[in-house]
Amino acid sequence: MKTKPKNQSELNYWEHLINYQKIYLVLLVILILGIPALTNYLQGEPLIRGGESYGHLSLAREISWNNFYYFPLKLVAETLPEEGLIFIQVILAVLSILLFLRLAPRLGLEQKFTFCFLALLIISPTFIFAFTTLSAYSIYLFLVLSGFNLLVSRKKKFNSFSVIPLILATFMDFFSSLLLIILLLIYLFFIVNKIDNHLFTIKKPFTFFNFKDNKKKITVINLGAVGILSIINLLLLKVPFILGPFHLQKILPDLISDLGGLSGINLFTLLLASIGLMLLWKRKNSYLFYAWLILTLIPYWFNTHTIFYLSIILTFFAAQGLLKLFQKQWNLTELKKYTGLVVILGLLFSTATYLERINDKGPSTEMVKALYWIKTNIPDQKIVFSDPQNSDYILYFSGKQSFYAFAENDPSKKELSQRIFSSLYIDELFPLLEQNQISIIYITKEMRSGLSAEQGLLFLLKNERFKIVYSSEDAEVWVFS
Amino acid sequence: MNKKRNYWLLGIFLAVLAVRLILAFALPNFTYESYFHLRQVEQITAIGLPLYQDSLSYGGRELVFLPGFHYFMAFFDLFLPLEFAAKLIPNLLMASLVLIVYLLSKKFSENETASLLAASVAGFLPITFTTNSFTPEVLFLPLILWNIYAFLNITEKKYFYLYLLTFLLLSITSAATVLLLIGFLIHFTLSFMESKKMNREELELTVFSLFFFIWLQFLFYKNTLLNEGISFIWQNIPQAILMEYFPKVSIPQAILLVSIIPFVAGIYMVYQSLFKIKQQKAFLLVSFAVSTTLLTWFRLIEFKLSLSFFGLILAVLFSLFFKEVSEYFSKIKKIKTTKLSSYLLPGTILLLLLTTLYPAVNSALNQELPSRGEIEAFKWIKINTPANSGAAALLEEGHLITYYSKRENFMDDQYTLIKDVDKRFGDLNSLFRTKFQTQALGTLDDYKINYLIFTPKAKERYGEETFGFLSKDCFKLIYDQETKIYLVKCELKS
Repeated sequence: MKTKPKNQSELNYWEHLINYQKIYLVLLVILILGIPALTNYLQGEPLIRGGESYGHLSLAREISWNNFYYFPLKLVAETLPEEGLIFIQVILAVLSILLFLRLAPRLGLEQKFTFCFLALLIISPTFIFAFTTLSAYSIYLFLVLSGFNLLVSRKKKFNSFSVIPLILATFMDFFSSLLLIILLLIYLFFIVNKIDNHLFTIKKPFTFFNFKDNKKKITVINLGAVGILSIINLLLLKVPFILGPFHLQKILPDLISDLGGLSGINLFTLLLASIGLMLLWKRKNSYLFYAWLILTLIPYWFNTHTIFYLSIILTFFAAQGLLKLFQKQWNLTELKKYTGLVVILGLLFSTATYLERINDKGPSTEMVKALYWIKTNIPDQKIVFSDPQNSDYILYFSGKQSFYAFAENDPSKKELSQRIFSSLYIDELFPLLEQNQISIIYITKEMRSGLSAEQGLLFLLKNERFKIVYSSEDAEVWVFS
Repeated sequence: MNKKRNYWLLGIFLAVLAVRLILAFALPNFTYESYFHLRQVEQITAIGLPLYQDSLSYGGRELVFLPGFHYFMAFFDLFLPLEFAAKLIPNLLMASLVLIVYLLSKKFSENETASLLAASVAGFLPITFTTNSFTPEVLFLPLILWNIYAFLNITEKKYFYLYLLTFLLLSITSAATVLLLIGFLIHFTLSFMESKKMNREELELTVFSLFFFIWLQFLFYKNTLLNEGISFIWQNIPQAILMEYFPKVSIPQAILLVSIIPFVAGIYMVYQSLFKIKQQKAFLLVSFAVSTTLLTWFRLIEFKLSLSFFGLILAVLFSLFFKEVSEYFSKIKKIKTTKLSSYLLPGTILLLLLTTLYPAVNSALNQELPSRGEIEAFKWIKINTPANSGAAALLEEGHLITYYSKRENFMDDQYTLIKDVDKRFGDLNSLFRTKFQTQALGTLDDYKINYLIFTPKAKERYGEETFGFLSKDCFKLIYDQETKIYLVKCELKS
């Protein structure tokens, strides 16, 4: 049962796919990102989803000196209809893919690897989530790829312009800026003078203090600019260390989307990544990738919003695993075909499942209507109590402050919020609501299914001091008097 | 294999089958959990599909399970009465363990006497001697051993297809197939650590199996995974009975259930394989022993199933042990004349008979089965109560309500995707313990229960003659045999 030479037609398909990968990958991006947008459009649901999107939109509405970097978003949000923003995200995704395809050969990445990596990345829930919401990391990815494309360009005049996108990328959060600095350092020490060689075959790090090379000089300038601005942003503009979180964090589901997480990666990608992790160990200079994995894994423990960076490196390992697995000769030839089929089916099913449920995440039209009702019927100074996951929607649509948002990172408020949800008696609940000037309670369908109806807040709403003032299938508004 | 050995093997198989069938037909009915599977088989025979939307269990719910076993049994249901087939086929499958354990042992030990002894150990393994059990495990255990046998012979094309077939069936029969995969992974780790050359075909099979198994489980358990996350492993079992399902391993109990001789022999062989002879062949068996122990230790797999598999692995390891002992005795015989070696075989047979046959029969006699009277009571409900009513009985009797009475039950042992299962379990328990009518009526209202069933088993468990809250105004005794059935006449007005 030895391997026969690869079927010629099989080879032709593969080569065709690789040769025209630019077209196929762009089509894949449009298809994958288009499905949730089209579904929402046809169902009359908001096209923009996720707490983070509305968090940014709220900030863009009120520009001041310490969030001036939201000005481009303000401009876009005021010029385009809300639906238009989602198309900007799709365009950003397509551009990011094209930029990576342009950069890959300059970094010495093989065409096959680039295709596998990008295909796995595009179908990863992290990528889908980042580019179907207004995610800071999607813009970060686009800016970093633009910066590096300019930096590696053979036309010297373009090299200097790389500083612009790279500086802009520092406004997301401090951790992203740190990663950018590390990327620039890797570039400076390992790649810049070997730019047309293969990344894995580099033997000697380049001599640091030789500034005759234009690319080196600009990289050092970029490093300085990015470093200084990162610190300024952190200290003066109070840019967060890590953005978010915007949802209730769960370490495992946030990593593996198939366990019900908000984004994350497919179970099959994780399996392939494990194979890649084992197989890459033997390769030269591979320690950089393992170091990068650790670097992204540690912050993930504290804030799962960094899944974006973690999933990129895991997808990198997965692509390695996929190629290694199927480029090798198998003794059981038939089994290789079956395995390939199962891997493809697994990846597709996992992605399809994610696409099926991505629109379940808020806000729905009904939720938005309830929040607009609050905006028009409730005085501005009132505080709204709800699940912290709804805080960004509350602020954006109703213009009211919510009692507690995840991004506040205030343990005392978090504890108070939990106490309100779990109060067993009115003598316990009423003082908490009064002391914190909470007069509006916003309950969504998701909250109703998660909270017990027989005890806690939902049960106590039966008291005469609470009045339901708005009710629809997806949301209710209660007034506490 | 010579003719004499063939007869011996056939003899052991027939003896095991005969003992199993006599016990199965002598004892009435099936184990409680069997009725769930019987109902599924009936459903498949009737409409070709399992009952994934069950309107009776928990008053209506979504069910998630692998249907391989049910389809397999539905085939026999086409030409045999189900209750007859449900006693015959599982016992035939379990008796077939004798044949596959023989083949496996022969592959490992290359000694026919040792293999025959191992086969008889497997046949009379006390933990697997639940003759009235109609569960997927009766198909799973022979399949997993056939799969291992095919894995060991993978270089031959027919075994490649046998592997694929058995693995496919295993993957749609039980999620416990993960035992096999973890065993394979441990096998490769051990081989790698001992710098032994790894078989390419085996490695390729493992990669395929891993991806295929995960994909298939994902297809079946997609919603469970999304709703319950990683806790899907524990199948949403209420905390209060989790200990029963995944009990802490009591070593004396485990030794008794897998029989003491194979246990001691198996442990000795694991030690020998790992630290002394470092024989790569035995690594695979050791890997399965390790994977079973680990999964049981971390409570990731049902205790009874893992112990059954462990027992079968020990039976195969016993053949290696016996071979080693008989070789040792032969050496002694060469040095000095001793009668010891001639006593080895009869002595072993006697010891095995004492430590396996008696505990096995005992295990079968002590199965938890509903009595004939109880079954009659559940059948009575079907004829004498309205079709859309609900009935409450003990947790394990939940499937009797849905199978015989065809009525909605309060609760049964299929917990997956059930919301607030702990609360429901607490409410069911309080129904049997409470003395307060208001509390009981509140619970009965909440779960839309119209009939209460108090069986001798409930009497034994709670030490009461009947429910403690009954009043003539609100509860009418409508069936008064050893099992009592009450009609609920009142409801709490909210």
